[in-house]
Amino acid sequence: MESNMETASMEATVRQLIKSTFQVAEPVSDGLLQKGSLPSWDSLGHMSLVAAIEKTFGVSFPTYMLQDLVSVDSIVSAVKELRS
Amino acid sequence: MASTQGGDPAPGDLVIREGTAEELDLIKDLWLDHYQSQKLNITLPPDAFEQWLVSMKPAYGRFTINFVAAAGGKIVGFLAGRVRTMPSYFGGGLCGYLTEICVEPEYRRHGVARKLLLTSFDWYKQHGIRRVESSVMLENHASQKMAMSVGLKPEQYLLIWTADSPESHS
Repeated sequence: MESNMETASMEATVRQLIKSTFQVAEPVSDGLLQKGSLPSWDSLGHMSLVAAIEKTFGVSFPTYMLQDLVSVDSIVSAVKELRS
Repeated sequence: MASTQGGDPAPGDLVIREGTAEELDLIKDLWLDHYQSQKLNITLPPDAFEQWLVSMKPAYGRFTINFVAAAGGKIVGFLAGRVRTMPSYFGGGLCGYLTEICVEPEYRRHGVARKLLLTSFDWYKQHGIRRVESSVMLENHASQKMAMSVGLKPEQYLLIWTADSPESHS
């Protein structure tokens, strides 16, 4: 089971991946780091983010999960689910 | 979609194959020629191709793909495609999207674009993708005819509004 510290680390990593994928320079809240809040997070950009997450965490998301990866929390939950 | 009008007979050593992420760097001239000939009402930024590479490389082989036509050790045509998710209200599955097809003028009208398309369809099928979309310029009848010959069917017109259109003012 992932500890709180591991979860916090994963969240930080996911935040950084979202920022780098969508070129977010300034500090922003998690509320803005979600699909629908960032103009460049469109259906094509989404797949770049998914690929970066897969590469970073060594997972491969099944198709049914892809549309649910829309925020820091949902991404961390999905990665945890695949690792469990 | 494709630039397909052209030219002299293609040589016999033409090969259609899956490209590599590194080979994306080699198609800059073809890519720029493709968009300069499209007459899109969009001004490309100076680093358009480099930005395109940034959008392609991170997901290469997983959600982005490139097929090349090579002859004599040179890339003479390419097809770039992507995978995206459909909105949840359309079922949320995966959908293919062909973004660019371009062939060097002297290799056009010899089935190169057709072979690139058919090869990409095989890739999409192997990845469980049952729907592939593309767009083609309205006046590019040769590309439309070629695309329909391999099974692509027109489903909708892409309508573009621009603020400088005289009809756009109330």
